[in-house]
Amino acid sequence: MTGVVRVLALALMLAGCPVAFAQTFLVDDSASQVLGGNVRMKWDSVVPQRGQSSGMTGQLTVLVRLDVSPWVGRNARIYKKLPPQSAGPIQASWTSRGVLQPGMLRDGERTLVYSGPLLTERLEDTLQVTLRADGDRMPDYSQVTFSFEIELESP
Amino acid sequence: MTRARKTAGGLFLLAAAIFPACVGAYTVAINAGTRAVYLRVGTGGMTGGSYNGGGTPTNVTTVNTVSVNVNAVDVGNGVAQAMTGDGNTVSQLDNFQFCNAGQVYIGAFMRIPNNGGAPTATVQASYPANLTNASGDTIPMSQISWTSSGNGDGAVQPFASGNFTGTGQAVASFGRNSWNESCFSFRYANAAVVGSGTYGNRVTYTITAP
Repeated sequence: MTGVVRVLALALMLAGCPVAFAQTFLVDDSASQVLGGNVRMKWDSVVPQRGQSSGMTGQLTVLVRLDVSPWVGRNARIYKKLPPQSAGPIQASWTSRGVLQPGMLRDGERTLVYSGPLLTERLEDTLQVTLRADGDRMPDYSQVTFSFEIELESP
Repeated sequence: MTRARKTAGGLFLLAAAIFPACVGAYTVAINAGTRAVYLRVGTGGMTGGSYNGGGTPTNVTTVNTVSVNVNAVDVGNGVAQAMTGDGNTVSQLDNFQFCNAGQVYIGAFMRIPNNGGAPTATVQASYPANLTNASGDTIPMSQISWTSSGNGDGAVQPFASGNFTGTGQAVASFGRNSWNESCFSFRYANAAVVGSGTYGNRVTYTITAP
């Protein structure tokens, strides 16, 4: 590896962006806001069922604010992503009110929430999210972190 | 700075411009479902239908009775006598007729999230060592045993067959988030000649969960 390539690789690491391939970037959604504090999961069934797993469900509202200013004027696809969870499988589904698409994803996956031209510096929407988890594996308290990544279409 | 280092420095700035600062990724804090334990021995209480029908269990103070009358000529002959319980025999999970008349229903569960390890709940039976009559005569509790079963169930029961011993013992242990129920058929061993009278004792079942 030449010194120049080494420095470029270092720069990529410092930028902290998981780059799946050349034109995939993490979207800054630091302005997003989860409403209502901690999500209180509820058992799907108050009582354990014979021979069935114990699911839990919780709901929350998220004001999603995606800073897409670096890519205004480009055509892009934006994905919502949830990394694998140590506290067992988690599924998130959501409805939307604005520019983002409703959808569903499981941990370890990503799913498309936007496709098209980026005409503004920020994409905003309100998502009603439903989380489903395995109560046999979920601890009393845990966290899940969603992220958004963008793929730019070739100019 | 050498020429090579200048080039590298320039590339770093370029890279930083192309890849914007990666902040954000919203985080959701999750509290798991609430904990609960349930224990029913004999008659249970439920309002609003079965559990699966949306019902809610109620606290029941009824003390059910298991009894047998032994004919005088049979006392102490060593032939076990079946005992009869008087409690409700329907499973309140789904109102299934899980036990038969004369059996005693016992059911329990522990609802807790996973905080590591393998937590177990235990159901304990506690009782004075002897049945006694009005004259103070005694019959040791070890003379009473039970066979466990359940309609539609296999031979392996969450509450195993057993017999009373000493002043108490665990009658079941089970993990989280499982439904456990059995039906006890009690019997009296009738192995000792005792004085006439009505002998009684009380067994108290308790559930303990972490």
